[in-house]
Amino acid sequence: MAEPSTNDGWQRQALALIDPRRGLWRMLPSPLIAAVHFTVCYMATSVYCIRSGRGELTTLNVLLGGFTVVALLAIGLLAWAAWRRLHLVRQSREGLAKRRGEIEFLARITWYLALLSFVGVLFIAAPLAFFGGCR
Amino acid sequence: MFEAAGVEASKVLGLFWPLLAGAAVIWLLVVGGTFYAMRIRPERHSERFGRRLILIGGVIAPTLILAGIAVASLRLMADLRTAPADFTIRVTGEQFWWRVQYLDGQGRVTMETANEIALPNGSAVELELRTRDVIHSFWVPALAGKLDMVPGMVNRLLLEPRRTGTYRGQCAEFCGESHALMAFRVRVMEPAEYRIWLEHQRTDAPPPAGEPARRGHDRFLGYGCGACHSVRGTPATGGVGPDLTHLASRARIGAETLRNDHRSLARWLESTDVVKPGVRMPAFGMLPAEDLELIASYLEGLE
Amino acid sequence: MTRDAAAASDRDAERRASAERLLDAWRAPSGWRYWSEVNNTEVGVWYAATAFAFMLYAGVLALIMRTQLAVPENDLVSANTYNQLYTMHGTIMMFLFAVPIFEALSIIVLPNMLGARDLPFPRLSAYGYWCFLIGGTFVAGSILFGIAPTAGWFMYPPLTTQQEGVGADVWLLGLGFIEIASIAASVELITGVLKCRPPGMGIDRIPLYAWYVLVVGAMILFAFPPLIAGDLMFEMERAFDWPFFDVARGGDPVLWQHIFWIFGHPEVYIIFLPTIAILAMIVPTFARVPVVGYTWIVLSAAGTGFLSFALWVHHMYAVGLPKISQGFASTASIAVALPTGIQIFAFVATLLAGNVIVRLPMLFVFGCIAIFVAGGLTGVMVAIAPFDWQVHDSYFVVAHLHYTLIGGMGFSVLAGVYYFFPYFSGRMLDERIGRWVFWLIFVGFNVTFLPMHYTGMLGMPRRVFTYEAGLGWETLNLISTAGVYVIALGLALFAFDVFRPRRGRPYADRNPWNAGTLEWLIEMPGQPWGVRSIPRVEGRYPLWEDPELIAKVDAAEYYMPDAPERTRETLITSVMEAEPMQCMRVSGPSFLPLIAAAFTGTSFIVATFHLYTWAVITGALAIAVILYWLWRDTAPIPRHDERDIGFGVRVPTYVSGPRSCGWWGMFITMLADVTAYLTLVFSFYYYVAINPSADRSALTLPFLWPFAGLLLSVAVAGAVLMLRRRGVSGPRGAGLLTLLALLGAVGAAVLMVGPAEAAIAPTSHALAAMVWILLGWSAAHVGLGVLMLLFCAVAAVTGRLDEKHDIHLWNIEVYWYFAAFMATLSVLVVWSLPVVP
Repeated sequence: MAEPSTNDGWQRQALALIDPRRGLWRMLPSPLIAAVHFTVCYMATSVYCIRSGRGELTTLNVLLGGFTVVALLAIGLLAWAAWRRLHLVRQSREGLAKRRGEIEFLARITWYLALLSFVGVLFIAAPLAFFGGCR
Repeated sequence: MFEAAGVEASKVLGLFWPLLAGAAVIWLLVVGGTFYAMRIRPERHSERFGRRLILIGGVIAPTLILAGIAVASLRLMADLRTAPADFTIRVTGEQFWWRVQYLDGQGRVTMETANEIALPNGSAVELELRTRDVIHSFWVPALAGKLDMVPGMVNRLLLEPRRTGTYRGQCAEFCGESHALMAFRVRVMEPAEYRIWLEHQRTDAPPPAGEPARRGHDRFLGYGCGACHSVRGTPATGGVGPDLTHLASRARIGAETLRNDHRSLARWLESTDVVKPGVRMPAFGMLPAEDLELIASYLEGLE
Repeated sequence: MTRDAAAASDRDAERRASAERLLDAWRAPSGWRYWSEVNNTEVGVWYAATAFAFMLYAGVLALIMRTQLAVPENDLVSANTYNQLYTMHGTIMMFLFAVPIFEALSIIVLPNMLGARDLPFPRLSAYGYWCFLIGGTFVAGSILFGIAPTAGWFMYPPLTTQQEGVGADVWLLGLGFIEIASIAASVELITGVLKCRPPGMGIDRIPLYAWYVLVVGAMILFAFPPLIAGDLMFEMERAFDWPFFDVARGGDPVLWQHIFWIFGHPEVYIIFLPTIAILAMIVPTFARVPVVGYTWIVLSAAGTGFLSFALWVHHMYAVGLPKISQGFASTASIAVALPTGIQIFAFVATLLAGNVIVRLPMLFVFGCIAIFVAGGLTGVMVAIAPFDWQVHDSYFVVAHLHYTLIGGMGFSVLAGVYYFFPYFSGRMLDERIGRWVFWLIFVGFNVTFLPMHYTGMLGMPRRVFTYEAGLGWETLNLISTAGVYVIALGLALFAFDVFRPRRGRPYADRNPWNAGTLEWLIEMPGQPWGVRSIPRVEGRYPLWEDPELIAKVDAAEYYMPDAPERTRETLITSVMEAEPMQCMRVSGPSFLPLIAAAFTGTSFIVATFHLYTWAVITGALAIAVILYWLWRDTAPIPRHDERDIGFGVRVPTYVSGPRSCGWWGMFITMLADVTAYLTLVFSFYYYVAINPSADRSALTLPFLWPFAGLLLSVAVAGAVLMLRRRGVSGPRGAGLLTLLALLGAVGAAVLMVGPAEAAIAPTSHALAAMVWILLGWSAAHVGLGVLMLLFCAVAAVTGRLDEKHDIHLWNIEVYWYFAAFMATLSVLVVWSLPVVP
C-alpha cells in the first residue's frame, strides 16, 4: 500500500502547486500580459505620433522591444509553470483522483493559452521592427 | 485594381495573386478533408490521428504560414507611400464633389479645378487630402489604395502613375445622400502633354464667343452664380462651388454624374436636386427656361 | 413480497405526487397571463421567433436593395430610401438578429444542457426580451415612416452629428436600449454557466456550447459598454451640442470610430463564436464520438475572445493613422486566424475520428465550413493593410463579411434549428424539404456573394444607391441580384417548414439524434420542468456514458425531483467541481418585467423626440417598477433554512456574498458598467493628447467640492462594508442605512457643484464636456447607490434584512465599491487636468 517516497513527494508538490480554490482565474494571467503588451505598444506609439507630428520612433521602438522581451519572459515562465503543473497532475495518483479532471484541464488550458499569448505577443511586436517613423 | 497603372496598385496586386493561390489550396485541403470524412470514408480513424491533425494542421502549419504573411505584409507596408514626391496636389472632398488645387513648392495654390486630376506619367505626386465637411475617401483603384479625408486631419497619399490613360476614382466613405454620385477621373499623360494641359488650365477663361454665349455670360453674372462659382477673368469669384474656368475641358459634370454637353448642362441647372439628391447647389427650375439654355451655352464655351 | 409491493406502490404514489407538485410549480400560466411567463423555455422561444422575424424583415430590405442594384442607373428607390435600406439592413441583422439569436438560443438550450430547471435570473431574461422587442420594433419600424437613420450601422460623425431629423437619434437610443438588454442576457448566461451546472459537471466536463457562452458573455461585458459610453457622448452632442466629435471645439470624429470598432470588432466574434459553438455540439453527435481536442476548442474560444479586442483598427486602415498603428492591427488580425483555424481543424479531426452519418444538420455543417473557411481566408487578405487600402469599403468587403457571417453564423444557426427543432417542438423537420432549403441557400449564397469579390476589386464601393453604366459592373451585379432571389426562395421554404402546423404528426423519438449531452434528456414533447430530476454527471457525454440515464432521470432517481412548496427552484453548484451549494428559489410568472420594460422603452423612445420631461417621468416609473419587483420577489426570506435535495444531501436555501448568484450578478454587471466608465476616461485622455495647446486654465476646478464628494462616496462605501460585517437589522439598522443614504445624496450633489461653480460651459470644448460627463456619471452612480441604501433600510425595518439574511447588503457593498472607485477616479482625473502634460 505504501507509495514510494518519491511519489509521495510528487504528490505533495503537486497538491502544493495546484490550489483548486484559485479556480478559473488561473488561466488568465498570460493572455492578460499579452493584452497589456498590446495596449502599451499601441498607446505609446499613438500618443508619441500625435504629439510629435512626423517624429522618429527609433528610441521608443527599442524601449517597446525591451518591454516585449519582458512580456515574453513572463509568459514563458507562466507557460513553463503550467506545463510543469500538467506534468505533475498526470504523474500524481489518488490524492487528486477526485478532482484530477478539473485540475488537469485547468493546467492544460493555462498552458495552451500561454503558448497562444506567446505567439500573439510575437505577432504584435513584429511591426516595431519595420516602422522607424510615424508616417 | 487589376489595371494596376500605378506603383502601389501593382505591388498590391503582386501580393494578391500568391495569396489567392495559397487560399485556394488551403480551402481545398480543409473542405476536401471535411468531404472525405463525411462522404468518402466516413468510418473511424484513430483519435491519435485526429490529435495530430489538430496539432500539425491547426496549430503548427498556420502559425508558420501566418507569420510569413505577416512579415511579407509588413515589408510591403513599410515600402509603400514613402518615396519623395515631385510636387503636391491638394484635393478637398466636399458634398459631393472634389476640389482640386495644384500647389507650388511653397504650398501656394497655382491652379484650381474640380473632379479631374491630371498627372504626368512616371512621376511621384503627393496628394494632400482634406475635407470641408464630412468624411470622404479618395480612391483610384488603378493607381493606389484609398485614403480618407477626415475633418481636422491632413492626409498624404502618394500616386506614382506608370501608364498613360484615364482612370476612374470614386468616394469610398459614405458621405451623405449622393455619396454614390461622387466620382472623378485621373488622366495620366505623357509629361509634355501634361505641361500643355497645365499651362492651359492656368489661363483665364476664354471670352464668350457668339451671341447666345455672351447673353448667357450676362445671365450667369446677373443671377449671381458668381457668389458660389469662380470663372477666372470675370467678376465671378465665388469659392463655394467648383471652379468653372475651364469647365468645358472636363469630360463630365456633377462629379461624373452627367455627360458634359449642352442638354445635360441645362438639365443640371434646372433640376440639380433630381439629378443629384442632397446636392448643395439649389435647382434653378424657377428661372425662365430660355435663360438656363443661354447659361448652358456660355458654360459650354469655357474650354 | 406484499410488503415490497406496497412499498413500491407507495413510492409510485409519492413519485406521482411529487411530479404533480413539480409540474404545478413550473407550468406556464394559460390565457392572456401566458405573457407573464418568465421561464427560459417560453422567453427563449419568443426571443428566437422575434429575432427570426427581424431577420426576415432585414432580408426583405436586402431584396429591395439588390433589386435596385440589378441594373445600372436604376430608380426603383430614391437615394434617401436606399440609404435607409442599407443602414437598416446592417443594423437589424447585427443588433436585432445576430446577437439576440445567440441570446435566444442560449436561453432556450443552455439550462437543459446543464440539467438546470432555469437560469438564475428569469425575470431579468424576460425584462431583456421585452426591452429587445420594444426597442427593436421601434428601430425597425422607423423605416416604414421614412425616418430611419441613413448613415450606415457605424454612424460616423460629423455626417451623423450634423444630420437633421430623428434618424440618428432612433439609432442611438433604440440600440443603446438593446445593448442594455444584451448585457442583461450576458450577466444571466455567465452566472448560469458558472453556477447552475449539475453535480459532477466540473469545468472539464462543461458542454462546449456552454464554454462558448461563457467566453461570449465575457466579451459582451467588455465590448458593448464602450459603445454605450460612445452613444451617450454622441447623443449629448446631438441633443445638447456638447462637442465631443466636433473638430472646431477640440473634438475628433476619429474617436467615435475607435469607440465604435472597439465594440464593433468583438461584436463580429460575439456573433460568430456562439454559432460555431452549435457546430461543436452537432459534430460529435453525428460523428458518434466525443469531440477530439476539447481543450483546444476551449483555447480557441478564449483565444479568439482575447485577440478580438486588438483588431478594431483594421476597420480604420483608410483613416490615415500612423503606419505602425496599422501594423499592430494588421499582425493581430492575421494572428486571430490561429485560434479560428484550430477550431475548424478540431471539427475535421472529430469527423475523421468518428463514424459519420450524414443527416440534415450535417449538411448545413458542411455548408458552414465550406463558406466560412473561404470568408476566413479573405479575412487574412483584408487583414493586410495595403491590400485593405484597395478593397476597404468596396464590394470585396461586402462579400468577405457575408462569407464569414452567413457562412459562420447563418449556416450554423440553420444547422442548429434543424438539430434542435425536436428539442423545441417535439417534432422533426422534413428531411426532403430541408435538402432543398440547403441547396437553394448554398447555391444562392455563392451566386450572390462570390462575384462581389471581383466587383469590389473592379472599384465598386459599398453603400452606393446606384452606379454608372459602362464600368463593367452590370453583369456582376445582375448575377448577384439573381442569387439573392434564390436565397430568398430557400428561406421562404425554410420558414414554411418551420411554421406550418404539425398538429396531427407524431412526436419524435426520445433523443432522436442519439446525442450524448444533457439537453437531450428532454421529453417529447418537452415538459415545463425541463428535467424530472437533476442527474449527477460523470463525463462529458453523460447520455453515452450511461445508457440508463434517461430512464433514471425520468424515474426521479436523482436530485430535486420534487417541489415541496410548489415554488420554482433550481440547484446552484460550485464553480470548479460543481458540488451542490444551494437550492435557489427562482421567480415565477409576473407582468412586472413587461411593465418595467415598457416604461424603460417609452423613456428611450420619447427621448428620441426630445420630450425630455416625459423621458424623465417614464424613466422614474421604470425604476419604481423595478424596485417593486425586487421588493416583492427577491426580498422575502425563504421559509426553511435548508432543503433536502435527495441522497440525504441538505443544502441551504439562502446564501449571500460570493456564494450567491445575486452577488455574481451584481459583480458582473458592475464590470460592464466600469468598462463603459473607463471608455469615458480613455476619451478624456484622448482629448488631452490631441489638444496639446488647448487652454486648460478655464477648466480648473475648485478644490473643496469635488474632494468632498470623493470623501463622502468613499466613506459611504467603507461604512457599508462595516455594516455588512457587523450585521444590520431592525429600526436601528434602518436608521444607520438612511443616514448613509443621506450622506451619499449629499456626496452626489457636491460632485456636481465643482464644474457649476467654476462656470465650465460643456458646449465650449470637448474637454469641458468631458469634465461634466465624468462627474455626472459618477454622481449618477452615487445617486443610484442612495436608492439601494434606502431599499435596504426599508428591508431592515420590515424584517427582510437581518444579520443572517444579508444578501442585499452584500450586493450593494459591491456596488458601492465600484461607485466609490468611479467617483474617486473622476475627481482625480478631472482635477489634475491643468497639470497633465
